[in-house]
Amino acid sequence: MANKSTKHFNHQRFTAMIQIPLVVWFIISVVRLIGASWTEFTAWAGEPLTALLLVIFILSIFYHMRLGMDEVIEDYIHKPAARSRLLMLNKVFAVILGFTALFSVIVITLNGTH
Amino acid sequence: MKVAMAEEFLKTRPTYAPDTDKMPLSPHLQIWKWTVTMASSILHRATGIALYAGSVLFTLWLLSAAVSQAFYNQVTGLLGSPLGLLVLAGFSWAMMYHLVNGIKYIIWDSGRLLEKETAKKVVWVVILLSFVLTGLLWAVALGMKG
Repeated sequence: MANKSTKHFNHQRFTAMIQIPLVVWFIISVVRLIGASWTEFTAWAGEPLTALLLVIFILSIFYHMRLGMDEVIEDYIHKPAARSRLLMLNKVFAVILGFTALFSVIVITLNGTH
Repeated sequence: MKVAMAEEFLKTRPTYAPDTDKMPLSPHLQIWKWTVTMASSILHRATGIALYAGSVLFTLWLLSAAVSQAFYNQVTGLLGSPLGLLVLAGFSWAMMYHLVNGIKYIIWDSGRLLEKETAKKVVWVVILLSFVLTGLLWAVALGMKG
Protein backbone atom coordinates (compact mmCIF):
# COMPACT_ATOMS: atom_id res chain seq x y z
CA MET A 1 0.00 0.00 0.00
CA ALA A 2 2.13 2.83 1.30
CA ASN A 3 5.80 2.85 0.41
CA LYS A 4 8.62 3.30 2.93
CA SER A 5 8.80 7.08 2.65
CA THR A 6 5.05 7.51 2.99
CA LYS A 7 5.05 5.29 6.05
CA HIS A 8 7.95 7.30 7.42
CA PHE A 9 6.06 10.56 6.92
CA ASN A 10 2.86 9.20 8.44
CA HIS A 11 4.62 7.83 11.50
CA GLN A 12 6.47 11.08 12.03
CA ARG A 13 3.24 13.06 11.83
CA PHE A 14 1.36 10.60 14.02
CA THR A 15 3.96 10.68 16.79
CA ALA A 16 4.05 14.49 16.47
CA MET A 17 0.31 14.72 17.09
CA ILE A 18 0.43 12.37 20.06
CA GLN A 19 3.24 14.45 21.51
CA ILE A 20 1.39 17.77 21.47
CA PRO A 21 -0.66 17.07 24.62
CA LEU A 22 2.10 14.90 26.11
CA VAL A 23 4.80 17.57 25.84
CA VAL A 24 2.49 20.16 27.40
CA TRP A 25 1.78 17.73 30.25
CA PHE A 26 5.48 16.94 30.58
CA ILE A 27 6.61 20.59 30.75
CA ILE A 28 3.99 21.45 33.38
CA SER A 29 5.03 18.36 35.37
CA VAL A 30 8.73 19.24 35.26
CA VAL A 31 8.07 22.79 36.43
CA ARG A 32 6.00 21.44 39.31
CA LEU A 33 8.82 19.04 40.18
CA ILE A 34 11.44 21.76 40.60
CA GLY A 35 13.25 21.20 43.88
CA ALA A 36 11.54 17.82 44.39
CA SER A 37 13.41 15.38 46.61
CA TRP A 38 14.10 11.86 45.40
CA THR A 39 11.18 10.61 47.49
CA GLU A 40 8.81 13.17 45.99
CA PHE A 41 10.03 12.52 42.47
CA THR A 42 9.77 8.74 42.63
CA ALA A 43 6.33 9.05 44.24
CA TRP A 44 5.23 11.15 41.26
CA ALA A 45 6.80 8.95 38.57
CA GLY A 46 5.61 5.79 40.33
CA GLU A 47 1.93 6.70 40.12
CA PRO A 48 0.23 4.37 37.63
CA LEU A 49 -1.20 7.17 35.48
CA THR A 50 2.04 9.16 35.47
CA ALA A 51 4.07 6.05 34.65
CA LEU A 52 1.70 5.17 31.81
CA LEU A 53 1.90 8.66 30.34
CA LEU A 54 5.69 8.60 30.70
CA VAL A 55 5.87 5.26 28.88
CA ILE A 56 3.75 6.54 25.97
CA PHE A 57 5.74 9.78 25.92
CA ILE A 58 9.07 7.92 25.87
CA LEU A 59 8.03 5.50 23.10
CA SER A 60 6.68 8.36 21.01
CA ILE A 61 9.58 10.82 21.37
CA PHE A 62 12.35 8.31 20.80
CA TYR A 63 10.65 6.94 17.70
CA HIS A 64 9.93 10.45 16.40
CA MET A 65 13.52 11.45 17.13
CA ARG A 66 14.92 8.51 15.22
CA LEU A 67 12.71 9.19 12.20
CA GLY A 68 13.71 12.85 12.18
CA MET A 69 17.42 12.08 12.38
CA ASP A 70 17.01 9.48 9.62
CA GLU A 71 15.79 12.30 7.38
CA VAL A 72 18.72 14.53 8.29
CA ILE A 73 21.20 11.71 7.56
CA GLU A 74 19.53 10.94 4.22
CA ASP A 75 19.66 14.61 3.25
CA TYR A 76 23.32 15.24 4.00
CA ILE A 77 25.20 11.94 3.80
CA HIS A 78 25.46 10.76 0.20
CA LYS A 79 28.06 8.00 0.42
CA PRO A 80 26.07 4.75 0.69
CA ALA A 81 28.41 3.07 3.21
CA ALA A 82 28.59 6.04 5.57
CA ARG A 83 24.87 6.60 5.19
CA SER A 84 23.83 3.08 6.16
CA ARG A 85 26.32 3.06 9.03
CA LEU A 86 24.91 6.30 10.42
CA LEU A 87 21.33 5.13 9.98
CA MET A 88 22.22 2.01 11.96
CA LEU A 89 23.96 4.08 14.66
CA ASN A 90 20.93 6.35 14.87
CA LYS A 91 18.66 3.37 15.42
CA VAL A 92 20.95 1.89 18.07
CA PHE A 93 21.23 5.24 19.86
CA ALA A 94 17.48 5.84 19.94
CA VAL A 95 16.67 2.26 20.98
CA ILE A 96 19.26 2.12 23.78
CA LEU A 97 18.37 5.56 25.15
CA GLY A 98 14.63 5.00 24.81
CA PHE A 99 14.70 1.61 26.49
CA THR A 100 16.94 2.92 29.27
CA ALA A 101 14.33 5.61 29.98
CA LEU A 102 11.53 3.06 29.75
CA PHE A 103 13.35 0.62 32.04
CA SER A 104 13.93 3.43 34.55
CA VAL A 105 10.21 4.20 34.76
CA ILE A 106 9.45 0.50 35.27
CA VAL A 107 12.07 0.25 38.04
CA ILE A 108 10.65 3.33 39.78
CA THR A 109 7.14 1.88 39.71
CA LEU A 110 8.38 -1.48 41.02
CA ASN A 111 10.34 0.14 43.84
CA GLY A 112 7.11 1.48 45.31
CA THR A 113 7.05 4.36 47.76
CA HIS A 114 10.09 5.11 49.87
CA MET B 1 35.18 -19.03 -24.03
CA LYS B 2 31.70 -18.14 -22.89
CA VAL B 3 33.09 -16.38 -19.81
CA ALA B 4 35.49 -14.33 -21.90
CA MET B 5 32.65 -13.25 -24.18
CA ALA B 6 30.57 -12.26 -21.21
CA GLU B 7 33.40 -10.19 -19.79
CA GLU B 8 33.91 -8.49 -23.13
CA PHE B 9 30.23 -7.67 -23.25
CA LEU B 10 30.30 -6.20 -19.74
CA LYS B 11 33.27 -4.00 -20.68
CA THR B 12 31.58 -2.48 -23.69
CA ARG B 13 28.18 -2.17 -22.13
CA PRO B 14 27.09 1.43 -21.58
CA THR B 15 26.14 2.31 -18.05
CA TYR B 16 22.71 3.81 -17.78
CA ALA B 17 22.89 4.73 -14.12
CA PRO B 18 23.93 8.37 -13.66
CA ASP B 19 27.25 8.87 -11.90
CA THR B 20 25.91 10.92 -9.02
CA ASP B 21 29.38 11.83 -7.79
CA LYS B 22 30.05 13.85 -10.95
CA MET B 23 26.65 15.44 -11.29
CA PRO B 24 26.14 19.11 -10.53
CA LEU B 25 24.36 19.67 -7.25
CA SER B 26 21.09 21.54 -7.10
CA PRO B 27 21.33 25.02 -5.62
CA HIS B 28 21.57 24.98 -1.86
CA LEU B 29 21.43 27.46 1.01
CA GLN B 30 24.12 29.77 -0.28
CA ILE B 31 22.20 30.28 -3.52
CA TRP B 32 18.63 30.96 -2.47
CA LYS B 33 17.49 34.32 -1.21
CA TRP B 34 16.65 33.93 2.47
CA THR B 35 13.00 33.88 3.35
CA VAL B 36 11.39 33.77 6.76
CA THR B 37 9.58 30.51 5.98
CA MET B 38 12.87 28.92 4.94
CA ALA B 39 14.53 30.11 8.15
CA SER B 40 11.70 28.61 10.20
CA SER B 41 12.17 25.29 8.45
CA ILE B 42 15.93 25.29 9.09
CA LEU B 43 15.28 26.22 12.72
CA HIS B 44 12.85 23.34 13.02
CA ARG B 45 15.56 20.93 11.97
CA ALA B 46 18.17 22.61 14.19
CA THR B 47 15.94 22.48 17.27
CA GLY B 48 15.10 18.87 16.46
CA ILE B 49 18.80 18.03 16.48
CA ALA B 50 19.26 19.94 19.75
CA LEU B 51 16.40 17.99 21.33
CA TYR B 52 17.96 14.76 20.05
CA ALA B 53 21.10 15.64 22.01
CA GLY B 54 19.03 16.78 24.99
CA SER B 55 17.26 13.43 25.18
CA VAL B 56 20.43 12.13 26.87
CA LEU B 57 19.67 14.43 29.81
CA PHE B 58 16.05 13.30 29.93
CA THR B 59 17.09 9.64 30.10
CA LEU B 60 19.83 10.38 32.63
CA TRP B 61 17.29 12.15 34.86
CA LEU B 62 14.90 9.16 34.87
CA LEU B 63 17.75 6.65 35.19
CA SER B 64 19.22 8.46 38.20
CA ALA B 65 15.89 8.30 40.02
CA ALA B 66 15.69 4.57 39.29
CA VAL B 67 19.23 3.88 40.49
CA SER B 68 19.60 5.62 43.85
CA GLN B 69 18.88 8.70 45.93
CA ALA B 70 22.53 9.74 45.82
CA PHE B 71 22.68 9.51 42.03
CA TYR B 72 19.39 11.42 41.70
CA ASN B 73 20.73 14.19 43.96
CA GLN B 74 23.91 14.35 41.87
CA VAL B 75 22.06 14.65 38.56
CA THR B 76 19.48 17.18 39.77
CA GLY B 77 22.30 19.13 41.43
CA LEU B 78 24.12 19.22 38.10
CA LEU B 79 20.97 20.34 36.28
CA GLY B 80 20.37 23.04 38.90
CA SER B 81 23.91 24.45 38.63
CA PRO B 82 24.42 27.70 36.63
CA LEU B 83 25.72 25.75 33.63
CA GLY B 84 22.92 23.20 33.96
CA LEU B 85 20.30 25.95 34.03
CA LEU B 86 21.83 27.53 30.93
CA VAL B 87 21.62 24.21 29.09
CA LEU B 88 18.04 23.74 30.30
CA ALA B 89 17.15 27.27 29.14
CA GLY B 90 18.31 26.39 25.62
CA PHE B 91 16.67 22.98 25.83
CA SER B 92 13.35 24.46 26.91
CA TRP B 93 13.34 27.07 24.12
CA ALA B 94 14.20 24.39 21.54
CA MET B 95 11.32 22.29 22.87
CA MET B 96 8.86 25.21 22.75
CA TYR B 97 9.90 26.23 19.25
CA HIS B 98 9.77 22.68 17.93
CA LEU B 99 6.35 22.18 19.54
CA VAL B 100 4.74 25.40 18.28
CA ASN B 101 6.38 25.19 14.85
CA GLY B 102 5.38 21.53 14.64
CA ILE B 103 1.76 22.52 15.22
CA LYS B 104 2.21 25.09 12.43
CA TYR B 105 3.32 22.31 10.07
CA ILE B 106 0.28 20.21 10.95
CA ILE B 107 -1.93 23.22 10.14
CA TRP B 108 -0.03 23.86 6.88
CA ASP B 109 -0.27 20.18 5.96
CA SER B 110 -4.04 20.47 6.17
CA GLY B 111 -3.83 23.24 3.55
CA ARG B 112 -4.70 26.11 5.86
CA LEU B 113 -2.88 29.46 6.33
CA LEU B 114 -0.66 28.81 3.34
CA GLU B 115 -1.16 32.07 1.41
CA LYS B 116 2.22 33.76 1.07
CA GLU B 117 1.63 36.76 3.34
CA THR B 118 -0.38 34.74 5.87
CA ALA B 119 2.30 32.06 5.99
CA LYS B 120 4.94 34.68 6.77
CA LYS B 121 2.82 36.12 9.57
CA VAL B 122 2.29 32.65 11.02
CA VAL B 123 6.04 32.11 11.15
CA TRP B 124 6.54 35.34 13.11
CA VAL B 125 3.75 34.33 15.49
CA VAL B 126 5.49 30.98 16.03
CA ILE B 127 8.85 32.63 16.79
CA LEU B 128 7.26 35.14 19.15
CA LEU B 129 5.19 32.46 20.89
CA SER B 130 8.21 30.23 21.42
CA PHE B 131 9.99 33.01 23.33
CA VAL B 132 6.88 34.11 25.23
CA LEU B 133 6.14 30.55 26.36
CA THR B 134 9.77 29.92 27.33
CA GLY B 135 9.82 33.18 29.30
CA LEU B 136 6.58 32.25 31.02
CA LEU B 137 7.94 28.81 31.87
CA TRP B 138 11.06 30.25 33.47
CA ALA B 139 9.15 32.97 35.29
CA VAL B 140 7.04 30.28 36.96
CA ALA B 141 10.05 28.01 37.49
CA LEU B 142 12.24 30.66 39.11
CA GLY B 143 9.27 31.90 41.11
CA MET B 144 8.86 28.40 42.54
CA LYS B 145 12.55 28.12 43.31
CA GLY B 146 12.20 31.29 45.42
